[in-house]
Amino acid sequence: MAIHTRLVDEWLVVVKLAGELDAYLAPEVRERVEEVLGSGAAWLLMDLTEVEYIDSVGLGIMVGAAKRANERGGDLSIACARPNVLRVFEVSGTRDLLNVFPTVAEARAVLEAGRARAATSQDVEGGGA
Amino acid sequence: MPVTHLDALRFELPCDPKYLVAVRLAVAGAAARAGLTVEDIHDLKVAVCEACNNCIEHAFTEEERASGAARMRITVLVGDGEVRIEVEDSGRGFDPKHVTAAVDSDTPRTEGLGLFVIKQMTDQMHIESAPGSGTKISFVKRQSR
Repeated sequence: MAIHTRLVDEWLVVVKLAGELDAYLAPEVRERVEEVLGSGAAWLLMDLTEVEYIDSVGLGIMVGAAKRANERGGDLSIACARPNVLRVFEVSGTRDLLNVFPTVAEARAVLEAGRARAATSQDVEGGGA
Repeated sequence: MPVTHLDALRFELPCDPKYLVAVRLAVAGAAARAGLTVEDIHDLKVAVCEACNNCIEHAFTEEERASGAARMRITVLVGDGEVRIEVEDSGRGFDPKHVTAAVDSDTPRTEGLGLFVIKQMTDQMHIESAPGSGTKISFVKRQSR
């Protein structure tokens, strides 16, 4: 499985996967996502536009990463347009939870909006202190 | 009316995720022969891997896996317009009542998610298992109309 990570604008980590995300390749992906989260990242965009297969093992990695990102005040979104991969998110009820969008631009936009809300919320809290 | 099966594929594999890609390929070929659509075939590939994942993750101990004793048997029955798959192991088994809530729920839960996905993606699913007696997960996928 091809895995590429890049930091964008010093706040967003894009993890791009290509190939079939099954139980055999999941440990490699989980390890890389753990590395990203371990480095302090809170905003993750999982680019699955070139992923051809996913099942509940891959979903587990995404759900775990989203939870970790949320715990540190960030969030995770997913770009995925392949109908068979989207179907797994839909059937499992994780499409909304994981912010799944058909394009990288839309997946990024939802994180930008979330980050802006978090900054506003911090300002309000700071102002009230 | 019972479906006449045109072909039966049976194979036995170590409980090792490195064989999942081969399982998907075999099932996709069988499903194409049965006349299933591309979408149906994708569903079936996910369903069979979920059943294998269940076996790989839960059926055996680490020692059984390391010794090569942990194996899964897969049967693919190809009918006219439908495929029936059975994934069987002789592992520790479980009481199917323990997964009923997860499988029959309207909303997915983290525990039992793989079985929930099989149920959602196939037309009929059945679990036979008991503690100490292994597990057989069977399901049918019919051609979409």
